[in-house]
Amino acid sequence: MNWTIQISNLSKFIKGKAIVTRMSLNIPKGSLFGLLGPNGAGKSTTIKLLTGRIKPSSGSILINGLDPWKDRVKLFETMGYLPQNPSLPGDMSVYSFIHYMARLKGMGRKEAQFEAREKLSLVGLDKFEESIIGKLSGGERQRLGFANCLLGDPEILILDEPTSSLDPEGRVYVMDLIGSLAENKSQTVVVSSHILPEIQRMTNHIAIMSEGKVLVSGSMRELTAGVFDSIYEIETDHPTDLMNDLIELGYTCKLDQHTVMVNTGERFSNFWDTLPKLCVEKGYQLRSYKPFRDPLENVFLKFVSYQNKFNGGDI
Amino acid sequence: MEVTSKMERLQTLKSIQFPKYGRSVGIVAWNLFRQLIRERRLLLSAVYFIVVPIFLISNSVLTAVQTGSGIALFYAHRNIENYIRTFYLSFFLGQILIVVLSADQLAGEIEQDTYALLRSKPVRDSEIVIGKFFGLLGVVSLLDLPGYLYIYFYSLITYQADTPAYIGTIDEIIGGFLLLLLLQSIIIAITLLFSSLFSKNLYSILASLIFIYIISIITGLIQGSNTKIVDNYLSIDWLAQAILPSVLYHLEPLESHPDPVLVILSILAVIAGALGLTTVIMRNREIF
Repeated sequence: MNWTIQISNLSKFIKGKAIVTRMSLNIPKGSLFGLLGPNGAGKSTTIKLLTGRIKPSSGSILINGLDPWKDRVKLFETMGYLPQNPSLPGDMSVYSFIHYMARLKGMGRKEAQFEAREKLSLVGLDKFEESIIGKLSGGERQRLGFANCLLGDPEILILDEPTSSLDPEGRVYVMDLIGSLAENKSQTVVVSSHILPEIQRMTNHIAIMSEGKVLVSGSMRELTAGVFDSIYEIETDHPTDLMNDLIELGYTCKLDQHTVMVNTGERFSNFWDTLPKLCVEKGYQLRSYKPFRDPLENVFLKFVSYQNKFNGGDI
Repeated sequence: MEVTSKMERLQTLKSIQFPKYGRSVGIVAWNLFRQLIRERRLLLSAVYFIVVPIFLISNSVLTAVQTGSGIALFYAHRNIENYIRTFYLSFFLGQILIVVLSADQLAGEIEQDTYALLRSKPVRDSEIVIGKFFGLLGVVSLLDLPGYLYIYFYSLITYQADTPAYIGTIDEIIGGFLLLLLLQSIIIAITLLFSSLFSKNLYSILASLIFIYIISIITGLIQGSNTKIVDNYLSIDWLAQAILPSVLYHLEPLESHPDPVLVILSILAVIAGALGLTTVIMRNREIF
């Protein structure tokens, strides 16, 4: 496989504390890669290492064959970076800032003007060109940070918690924007987040991190294949009757308003024979059924809880 | 055949990738210049730099200069020295303003986390440091200019009737102005160096002022004739006192002074050293 980012035995210690520990990870070219993990997992530190903001204590990172710490200038010719809650100069106007950043990206004056306007339009800030950055809302600033990292259409985008300071509307907008980047297969996007549904929506490859380590990584399809939830939510016109029938058959059930929650346990495969037959026999109308948790959530909980148990000495 | 060869050579020349180094210096400098001239603190600085010298000069160089006698020449000489001392005394606070303007350029950016934005672009740390230096120098020179023009026209009005020899030519005025900028460049370069060492703006301001004060005392002591600490006014004004009279008014300074070329080279070396060290520090600095 063609790897854009190769991380090998990477460790970072800050004030004697291990933040990232012997991390090895390969990120394929053209992927939308999600770094998923709870708060304090080391995602932001990993992103800072990837962007050359901090120096690895040991191990190596190669991005298109370049070391971010040593070859930062060369690397950023083809890379864009959105920090978590980006700090932007509050006294500059939106257009002046983005034009200045475009010039620093290596563009000529005219090209920078065109690029600045195009990217502001892309993130929906074209009406705010003359606004002072300090007067923008948190969501608008985040969009401006996003426009900045898209300047020059970089081959690699590194986004640290891109939706963290956004309102629901802004989140959807940014997630769709990131999703649209997938259409351009030559662009590699790395997104960190602790919000699982967002990662699931935005990315097609993930790595789950906890306590500075990568617990598992791969494509979304690989990781969720064969992972099933034993708890299901079933909606029917006779929820109480269905629940009683299932309890009689030995299933553990609970009624949550009009939804029957069923724990199929080990009898997962039998359940899908039993349920339709039962509904036909009794005349219940089956309105919907879905797993209580989605597959990725199961993968996440499985690995993170395993790690926590392991560290807690339960195993 | 020859034409083809020339065309080939032209093509080869066109294909050479010239280093892009230095292009961002101008961009960083211009952005900083534009940003600073919009700031209110700069307006205060401008008022200070224009009003204070005018006030002090108007009150210190009014002693009449009489022509034709050695005594008059002595008085004129002494007046000019007093004027220069006064002018540089006015820079006691002026230097603090330069330090305050310069100190947050790196420390402030790190404190506010905006330095990460610059580092997320293909720009070398040296380009950022040198760009900041020239941006600040541009602002300081803009602040100095009205005061300097005032000096020139004041001397023109005061001396043109009786002692035209004391009026500096435009070349001399420009020379004096550049020398003053060189002296201020040292303050900017040293402040940038301290700015790179700290993550808090205030610490970098205090450290810069203390360092400049210590340097001022040391240089004063080395000069011997200017051993009085009180004469140094938190500055390196002994250099100006030594050189400006000859540059501006064709006069030999009253006190012994070093070779001007050596002084200028030393100043340039100090500036280059401070900026180089700042670059090395920033290059190896982790931005958490």
